[in-house]
Amino acid sequence: MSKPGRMNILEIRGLTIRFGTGRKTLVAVDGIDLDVPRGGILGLVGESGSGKSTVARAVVGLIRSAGGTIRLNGADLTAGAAERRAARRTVQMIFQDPYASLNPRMRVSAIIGEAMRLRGTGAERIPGLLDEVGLDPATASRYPRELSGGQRQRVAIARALAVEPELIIADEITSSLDVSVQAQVLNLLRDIQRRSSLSVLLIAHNVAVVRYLSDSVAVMHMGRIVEAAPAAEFFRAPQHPYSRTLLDAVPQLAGAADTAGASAWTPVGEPSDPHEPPTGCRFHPRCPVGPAVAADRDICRTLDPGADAASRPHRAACHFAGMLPAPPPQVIAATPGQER
Amino acid sequence: MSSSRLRRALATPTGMAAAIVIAAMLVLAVIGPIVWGSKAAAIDVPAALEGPSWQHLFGTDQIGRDIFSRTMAATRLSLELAVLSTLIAVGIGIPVGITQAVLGPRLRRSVAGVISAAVAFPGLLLALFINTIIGIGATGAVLGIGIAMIPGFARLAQTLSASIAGLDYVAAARTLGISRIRILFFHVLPNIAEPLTLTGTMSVGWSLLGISALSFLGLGVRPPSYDWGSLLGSGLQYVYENPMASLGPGAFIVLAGLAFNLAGETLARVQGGTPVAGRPWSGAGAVGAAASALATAPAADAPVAAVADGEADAGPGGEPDAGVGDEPDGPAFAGEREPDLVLEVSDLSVRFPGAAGIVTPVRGLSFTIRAGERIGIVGESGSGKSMTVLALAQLLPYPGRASWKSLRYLGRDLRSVPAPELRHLLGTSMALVFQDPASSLNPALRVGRQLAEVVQVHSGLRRREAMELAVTRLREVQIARPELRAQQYPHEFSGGMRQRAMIATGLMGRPQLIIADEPTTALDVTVQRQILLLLRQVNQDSGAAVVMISHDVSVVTMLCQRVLVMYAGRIVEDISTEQLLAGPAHPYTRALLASVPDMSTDRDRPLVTIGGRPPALDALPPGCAFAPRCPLADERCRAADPALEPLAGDHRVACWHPHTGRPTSA
Amino acid sequence: MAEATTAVRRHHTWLMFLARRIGRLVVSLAVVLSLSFLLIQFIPGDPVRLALGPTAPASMVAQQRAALGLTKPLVIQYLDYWHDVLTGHLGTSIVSGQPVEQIIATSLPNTAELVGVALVLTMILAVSLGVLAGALTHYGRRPRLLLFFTSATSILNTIPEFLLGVGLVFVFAVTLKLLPVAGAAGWQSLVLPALAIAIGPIAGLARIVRVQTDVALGQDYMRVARAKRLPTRIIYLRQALPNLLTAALTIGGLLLGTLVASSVVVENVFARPGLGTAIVQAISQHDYPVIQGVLLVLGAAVLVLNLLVDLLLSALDPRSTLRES
Repeated sequence: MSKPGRMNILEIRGLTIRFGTGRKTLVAVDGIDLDVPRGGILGLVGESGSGKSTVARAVVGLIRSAGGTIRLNGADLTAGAAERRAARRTVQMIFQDPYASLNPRMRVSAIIGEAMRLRGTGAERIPGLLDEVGLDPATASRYPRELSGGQRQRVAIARALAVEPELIIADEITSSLDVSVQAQVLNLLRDIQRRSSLSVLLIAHNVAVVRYLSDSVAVMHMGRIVEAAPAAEFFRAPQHPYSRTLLDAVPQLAGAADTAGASAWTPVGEPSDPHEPPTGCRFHPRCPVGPAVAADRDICRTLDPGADAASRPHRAACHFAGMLPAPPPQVIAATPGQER
Repeated sequence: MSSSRLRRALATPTGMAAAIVIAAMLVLAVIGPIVWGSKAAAIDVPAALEGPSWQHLFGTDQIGRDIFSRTMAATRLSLELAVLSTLIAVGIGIPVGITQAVLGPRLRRSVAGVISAAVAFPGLLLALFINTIIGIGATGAVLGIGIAMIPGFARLAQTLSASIAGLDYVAAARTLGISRIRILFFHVLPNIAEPLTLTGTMSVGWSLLGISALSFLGLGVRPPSYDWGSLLGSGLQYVYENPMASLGPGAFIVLAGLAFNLAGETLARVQGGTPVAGRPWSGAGAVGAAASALATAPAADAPVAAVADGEADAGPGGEPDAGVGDEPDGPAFAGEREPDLVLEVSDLSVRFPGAAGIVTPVRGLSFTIRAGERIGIVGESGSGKSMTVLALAQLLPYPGRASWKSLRYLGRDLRSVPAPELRHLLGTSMALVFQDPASSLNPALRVGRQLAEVVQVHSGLRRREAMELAVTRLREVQIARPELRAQQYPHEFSGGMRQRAMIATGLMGRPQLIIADEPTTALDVTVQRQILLLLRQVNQDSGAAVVMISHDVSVVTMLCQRVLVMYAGRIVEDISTEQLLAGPAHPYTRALLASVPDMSTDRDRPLVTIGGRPPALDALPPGCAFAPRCPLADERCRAADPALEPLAGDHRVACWHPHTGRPTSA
Repeated sequence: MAEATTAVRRHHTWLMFLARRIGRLVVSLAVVLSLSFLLIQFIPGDPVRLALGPTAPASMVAQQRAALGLTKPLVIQYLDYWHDVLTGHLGTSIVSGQPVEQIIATSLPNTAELVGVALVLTMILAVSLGVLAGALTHYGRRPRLLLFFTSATSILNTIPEFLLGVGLVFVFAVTLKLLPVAGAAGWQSLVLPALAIAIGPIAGLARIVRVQTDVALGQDYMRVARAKRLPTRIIYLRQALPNLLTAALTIGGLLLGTLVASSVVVENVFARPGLGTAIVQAISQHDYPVIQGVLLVLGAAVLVLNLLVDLLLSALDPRSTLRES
């Protein structure tokens, strides 16, 4: 099934996902394009309600899409059940809540064993798998309730790896963990990815984590991708105002002295209602350089900038991309090689 | 039903009682007709309608039969019919309810609608309907009650399986391509089996009552058969002569019904298996929940007085509990009284009683807060940070108790302030902002009202003036169109707005101290920044000191001038933000800073981790609590717990090997 | 401008909500009607023969069959039934020859009275007792009181209404001779039957209300109310009660069906002329038209009452579209 020649393992085009019908329709994902590079990590960043988890669920077949294509190794998952079935061996997901992602009535060995049945491998691989995720082989006979959050997350990773997938979707896998455990799990993911050249779609709201792990970055806002670029370029010079507000808002140790007042990149007003998204650019009511602030930016209200995003730097969905002032020093991340 | 759960249920008095009665009933059901059968049928007309006597414990009926024997013999039929009709309800209702999970959405909705309508319909009417069709008699009664209970079980099974089906592990199974049937049997069913078995047990009791009702009305069991219900019914005809004729069988109905109900309830109350390990971020909740779980088994010496939380029966403050073995940290503030100190705490501890002993989530804290200062308290879950502020605010949940050597708020010893004055003092000068803005506002009241009541109660303002003040404060926290918003309900506010409304509530009085417990954890990062800026502005405008608790060190450094780092119930470092960024002294603080990725973390190196896990509060090691995870730990660290000592100026550290001198190296 | 349109839209949403609920009610009523029609059809054997007895002459049986319309094709019978019900004709009693709607008209007021009184009694007592118990035992305080409360409510909830009725008859009428035990004359005759019906539900609802109170008092916003140092009275009445009422009313609404069913049984204990005594008598006499009629009326009444309770609840819930400012 895998075609080593393809650059991207996952290519999403025009994906649309709707919830509800009639008056109560919520367009959670609105025609997005996304690429996950083979053997690399794409970090998908967005705040709550951006639709990023919905995208993840659509890729693994938990949610039906209303339009668009999802190509995994060239095969379109939206085409039919057969394609989706075949896709299961290629893509697996790790969920956010370690307390809800393992069946409390099954032992660890059964949980992983279920996954191995898909691949046809036997139970003898389980101790090796547990070792790979840093767990003692004796964990196999335990129940989830006997394990800590970090250990459970490792079991969830082992379950995903048991299928020997090519793509792993990690949906906020450290958000529910204690700080000192987060680092362990992130290191584990990093190791595994480098060792087996796995492709990873990393979904997170924590920009610092995305920066640490990702090769390329995509930013989602209210169901749309507003910017997508290789990680180094993105963090050096983000092109979309929303990306700027996100980066600006990241709590930083080094930048404490700067937080004396509101910066130029604080969003204006209140978050919009996802059931009634703004016309034109969805970020315009909150954009600190948009029509709410500057009189000559009326076009943001009327014209959707996503239509010709491909022609702009970083495929930014903003009419004024490329015209933003240079980011101040604290927004820039240190380039690799610089220690803290 | 897991055996451990059964065992636990049997260990409780109600469980044991229920088990005994059920066992007795079962024995009676078997031997009843054998032992009492002939006596039950023996007609003795001259002895008709006699009252209770030694020969006839319940008296005799109108043809002289011994009612007690008849009651004993009726046990078998009564229980049989009850069990049968339960089996019908369970056998049809549960599959109908469960298969909902595998149906398509449209079909599922229609079936769900039918079930909902059927559940609302009174079962007895349905039972009468079926009874009429099938004819009067035991069969009609069994089928009637059994079928009438089907919608209830279907609804229960449906709700349970729907809630399981929404969980992540079912989603994970689906991504693995496991068939819907397998998911049903291996994932859904095992996790709903217990509540269903419970309800099944209780419905034997309900069936018994239902069938007895029908028999009582003459529509159920017919002569020559008799069950408790029909005995009760025929006894009613001569209740004036011999009330025991009906009350006797009636008592058995009640007893059996009670036993089954009790059995079900006890099983429900008792938790199966080992308690679930607490979730992170629950902080105070985790300890409170664990403690209250422990506290349900009454400890012999558990202190029961609640720390003042507005109840009339408890006085303010807790009794001093010196000499429980904790060393005080830092100087006691006995004589000194600096005028611009908002808070002076010396040796604050919090204890929760439990079956396994006393849990101490906060152990001997000492610190001060100056007027207008912004300090942060940082720690992971289990560090005790939330409990600390709850204790300071006199809001500890029962049965927790706080104790201290000295606790001065605005220069006054809290223990010496009379209750009404304390209420006024704290209500107007201490503001609290909790973590979850969605649940901190009362969903049933308008937002403006919730702000206004603070000044209505404490400053005697009238409704109109209070509302005007509320609108002003809402404007101050940058909520647009505050007059409109004040009339709205909390669910019409966004998360960030709710948190700002909470801050505004604190501003209604004249705040001197604002305590914010993880105020931004539940919010998006862009909103978080706005809230932090707001807190700083409020601090600057009103001069109130701010205490912010967080698990995120970076967030704390964005707002606070000084940081207290907590670990396992103790302050391990008290350091200015400047110094923290330059290089903290305690190994835990250093490790914490190093392990959190930020925008300048080196991508080529793995993240620094802290090996191991935070310690459990009921299994603290002797000596320094961080020693098991500390790279610098030696014998001294493991043996003796270091006190919080000044290192340089205001910088205090609790460590035998604090880092001094050079800035951080990972 | 935007506010006006949203107001119109909200009004529209509420109308849609109402229309949907009424639509559902109509469907349920149609189902009940059809079931009551089918009652006679489902009976194995000859229903008329069963009603008139084995000794009745064949000609009488045939006459009755024709009178009941049983000789016509099924579909015609069904349509006739709809027509009859909608014009207020519920058939004729096989046993007494009286029009069924007349029998119901005389019995219904007694039953309605009884259920009404029982409902009011239940709601008032259960909510008060439950809230009181919840407030006193919150946080694990007063464990003995809690034990007493749980045991008492458990036992009272399990005692069936007919047994309670018998017990009450015995205590108040036989021993104390204070209240009447039969008939429907005056308010005194309501007391014992209403008690018999209400005691069980009061105990059951009080338990639920206590749990709800316990939950409500543990909510975050209650902690905030305590942090505001509001007086206890205000905390309970203004902050906790509104949240409790919704839950209590929901359960109370569900109890309606139980109360109606209990009244059917209790009327027979107290020989109180009402729908309950009518239907039991009819069943034992195989008087099918009466059975059909009473089941139809009772079923419809429960459905309509449930809808009213639903509407009341949604009017009270701030989260519903009705209340947005």
